[in-house]
Amino acid sequence: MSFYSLKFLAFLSVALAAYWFAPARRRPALLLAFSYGFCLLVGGARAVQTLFAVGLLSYSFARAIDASSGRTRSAALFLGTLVLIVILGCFKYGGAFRGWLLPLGLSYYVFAALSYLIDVYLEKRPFEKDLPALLLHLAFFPKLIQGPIERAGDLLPQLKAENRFDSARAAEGGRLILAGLFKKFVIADRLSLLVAAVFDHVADHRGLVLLIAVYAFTWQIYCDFAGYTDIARGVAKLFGIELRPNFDRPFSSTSIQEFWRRWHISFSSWLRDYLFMPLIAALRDYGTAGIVAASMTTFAIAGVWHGLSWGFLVFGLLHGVYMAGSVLTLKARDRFLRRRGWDGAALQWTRRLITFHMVAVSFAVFRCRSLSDALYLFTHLGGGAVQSAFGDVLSPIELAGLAAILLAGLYRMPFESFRRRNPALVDAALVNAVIFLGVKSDAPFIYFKF
Amino acid sequence: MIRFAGASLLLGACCVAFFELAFLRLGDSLSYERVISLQRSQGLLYAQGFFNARNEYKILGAKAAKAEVLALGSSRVMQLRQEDIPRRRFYNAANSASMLGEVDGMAAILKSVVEDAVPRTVLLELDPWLFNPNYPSNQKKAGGRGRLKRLLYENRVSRALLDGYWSLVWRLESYEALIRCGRPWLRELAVPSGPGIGLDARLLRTGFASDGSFVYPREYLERKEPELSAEEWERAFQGRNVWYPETDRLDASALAGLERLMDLARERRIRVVGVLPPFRPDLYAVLERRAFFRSFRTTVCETLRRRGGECFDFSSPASLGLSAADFYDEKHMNQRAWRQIVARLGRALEPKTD
Repeated sequence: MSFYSLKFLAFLSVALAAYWFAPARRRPALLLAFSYGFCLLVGGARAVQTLFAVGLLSYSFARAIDASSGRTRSAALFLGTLVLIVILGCFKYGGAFRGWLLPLGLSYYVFAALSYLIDVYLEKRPFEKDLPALLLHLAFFPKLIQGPIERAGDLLPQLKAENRFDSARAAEGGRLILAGLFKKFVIADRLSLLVAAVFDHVADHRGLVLLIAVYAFTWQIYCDFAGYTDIARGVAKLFGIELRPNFDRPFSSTSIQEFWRRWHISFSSWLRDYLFMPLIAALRDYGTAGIVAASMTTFAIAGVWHGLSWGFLVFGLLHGVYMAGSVLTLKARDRFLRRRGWDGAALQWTRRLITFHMVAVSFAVFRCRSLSDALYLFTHLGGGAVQSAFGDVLSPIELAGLAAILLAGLYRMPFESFRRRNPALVDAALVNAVIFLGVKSDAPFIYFKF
Repeated sequence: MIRFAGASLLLGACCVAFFELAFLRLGDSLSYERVISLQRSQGLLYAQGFFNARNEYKILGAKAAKAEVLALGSSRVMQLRQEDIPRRRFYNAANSASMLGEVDGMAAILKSVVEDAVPRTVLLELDPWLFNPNYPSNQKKAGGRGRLKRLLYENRVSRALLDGYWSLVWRLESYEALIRCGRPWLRELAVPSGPGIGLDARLLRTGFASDGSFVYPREYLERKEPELSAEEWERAFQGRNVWYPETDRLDASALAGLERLMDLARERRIRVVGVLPPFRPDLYAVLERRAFFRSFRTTVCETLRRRGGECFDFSSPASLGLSAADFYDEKHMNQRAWRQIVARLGRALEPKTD
């Protein structure tokens, strides 16, 4: 049952009706039941067992942390963190050796549970005595499969509050769902046809086709993941709950640091707060080497969080190198640019282009089926004209449509002002684009498997 | 909200109008009555680019032809033409496996055709997968969903709702096919490149002829699929094996469907000539070792004979003296091979005299 299936529509309708017609004090319990029901329908009984076990363990360890002090408190945190990481590691990487399937959403709710334990330890938020509320925080179904990775401080108070139906918020939710469906079906799934044709047989192509496929995948993964997040946030809004945004126009970033502030925000901010900053603090005596080590470790972990493959590791390490290089050369670059008097819009656009290409290179490694494919790709990007079956993969209408969307993206400001003036027309156009121009297939969201 | 709903409907109507006008101009969405009329008057080929011809097209064609000999079956018999049976009015009501609806589909075609034009003889081409319980369509019918579907189709309202839903889904899929189409359909909208009804008929010179038989495109006829060794076939069967999954029994529901078809034929005094067509020699050599295939040949022929029909088992290409050159692929024969079958059927295609 995916977000775009009729089954999900039926499930959501029942859940919404039950939620808003129930007395306010019963709503959290209902939402918990529906969230576990969703987990059961999508992931099966084992997914429910794992979700419940992680919830129960988080509650128990948080209680132990809250009730103790000194070394016992630290030991409780250490043990809790270790247990959760072992659970995640066993399922995530044990699968490679024993054929275990990753329980639904485990990577996301384990990270949410870890941040909760650390926040309780650091007394950033109190221990949550209400077990069902904590279970709901981890299991809330719109974000269960692919996040965003919510912090207890943001989500728990909303889940426990007595919500009142707000039609404006619900309409906003509907708009977000629509935007998400557009990104997924009209852009990401259409691009995936080209991306799969090229990346699944890299050695059959060269030159411009490979280059276009690299750009296409960069946009595909963004629209796919951002589309999912929009739908998740939209569905949450229908229940009167705000989830944090996960993307903020990442390809307009002028540096890698900025990119990671705009890309998969809930995950990157988690890494920053719970991994990078503690590492920087621990390695502060080592100066530059400490920054490099912290960057490389953080991004290597970010890479293998996606799975146990060389491609994911290299993706993470590349970003580690980018980040360390970016931080270390920042002053020198600024001096260089100031000396030459380079400034203004042109410089911003150049920085954007460079950042985008650095990111695109990393995503190409991410998408390639092997490192040898990646090596072939980067050594055959030259060669000029379109030589392979590029035209056979996408039809003229698809190409024209994607070009139109790209132009609309580039001329975002006029489009935004048009949307503000004619919201009904733009929404109506999106509805029809999803119905008539969306790819009618069952392509899962890319980040579903992580 | 009202502006949004109005704008959505207006834009939606514009999109639908664009797609529908394109389909109409290409001939893809002409009514079957109009197609049959054009085919009978002008002898045009009919092949849509964005839809599949449904059984209704074949039913209307058979009724209009008032055929004495009616062929029923899958794409394996679609090459059989009027010129192969010159002395009798012939119509080929076979349809592709994806649209036919298996044995029940053949029975439904016959039931509809006999309302207006009773053929004297039915040439019933039967494939092994139609009787295989592991064939995906048979599996679906036997599963919970299949049972639910049958239940819903028994009620008039739920049947109308389901039909409406599926028509909408298929229409949207056709729109998607138009968007994804790399062929020059935009040029075809302005200037048709050749005679024919439907995009494929115009561009590829392929499609159903006025006698219901199918004219394959030149590229298909000229291609030569390599024969496979027994090991290669076994390896192929290990993969996604839709057509030849091994099993130890025949699908009871398919056999019951065949019996119903035979009962209808007997009731209307129609002679039924069952034909099990040959496979390419390399595939036949593998199939004949499989228990299901042997069981299919004997059980189906017994059923046909028990219900008053005849059965001609030409599964072995050697029985007709055919070689790999007589096949387009592993299961589709050329017209020459079909002519040999017709010659062997001889007087069996004559009407019943009792």
